[in-house]
Amino acid sequence: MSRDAKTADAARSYHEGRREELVQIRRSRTDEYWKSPDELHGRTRSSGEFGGALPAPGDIPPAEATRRDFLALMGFTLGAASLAGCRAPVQHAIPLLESSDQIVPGVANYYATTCGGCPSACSLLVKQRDGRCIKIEGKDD
Amino acid sequence: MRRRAILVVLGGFAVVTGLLIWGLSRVGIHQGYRPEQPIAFPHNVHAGDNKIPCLYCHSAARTSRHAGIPAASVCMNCHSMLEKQTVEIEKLREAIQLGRPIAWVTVHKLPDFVYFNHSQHVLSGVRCQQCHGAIEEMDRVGQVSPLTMGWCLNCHREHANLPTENFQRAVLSLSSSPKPVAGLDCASCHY
Repeated sequence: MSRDAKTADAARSYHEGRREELVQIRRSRTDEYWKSPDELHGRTRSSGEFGGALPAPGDIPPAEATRRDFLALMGFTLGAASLAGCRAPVQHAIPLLESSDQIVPGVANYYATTCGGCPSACSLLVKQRDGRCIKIEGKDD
Repeated sequence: MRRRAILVVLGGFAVVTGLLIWGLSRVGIHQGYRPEQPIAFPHNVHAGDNKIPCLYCHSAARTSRHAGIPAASVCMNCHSMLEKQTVEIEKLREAIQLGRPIAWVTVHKLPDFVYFNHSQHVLSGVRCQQCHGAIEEMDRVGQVSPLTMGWCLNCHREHANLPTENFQRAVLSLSSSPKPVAGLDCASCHY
């Protein structure tokens, strides 16, 4: 073999040896891992999450209703009740008590009157509808 | 098993969505609204059995955009002379004696962006029952028509066109009962 090939072979076998050493170290270290003194001295029963057997359905007691659950239930009930009670607002139509042939709902009445703003006393024409004055105009004579 | 559960959930979701869409499409439509009134006035007794004309009480419909609810004195025109005594008539007398107008609950209400004029329709010969239903058979007034724009347009489309030919126009002008001319453009009602 050439000098370079011999060096490559030597390097490869050296590295492989070191790798095997590393693998051996890791394997042995797994056996020696411990998480508590009990485990170190071999006093734990098992290494799983549940020390011993898995819990049976009868072992865990049912959770009591907490104050939080009560408040949540009350909140949802209040929301449901207010949503169920939603109605369109009632509108009222209130007619007169004493009818008059002068007053017709929706029909305007015009009144000729005088403005009292200043002593000029200009004439006015007032349009009144449903009891409200809605237009005031000057009235030329 | 799991696939059936998914199908059930999807079906329920579809039902709920369908109900929601249907409900939203009916917002603002008060067909079937039949509220309790402060005095239980029966139209079937007054307009039905006694055949009082609609316009005797709702006289504003002839001249105004509002049909109006009659004042309590209109009721007393007859009831001051009648011997019939019921709880409701007693409520009427009490309201007049105490000077308190009766706060009736509005049944037919159009939105504010619509202009509806009763006198235009009454004077064109539209019968009250065409829009308000068989009032003379109701003990408590309810809204029977949807009062939507589409429903109004159904009648307006039928009566919109004036004839343009001379002969038809002559016939129309000479006929004793005027044919209604219903506006069909937007500004007829929305102004």
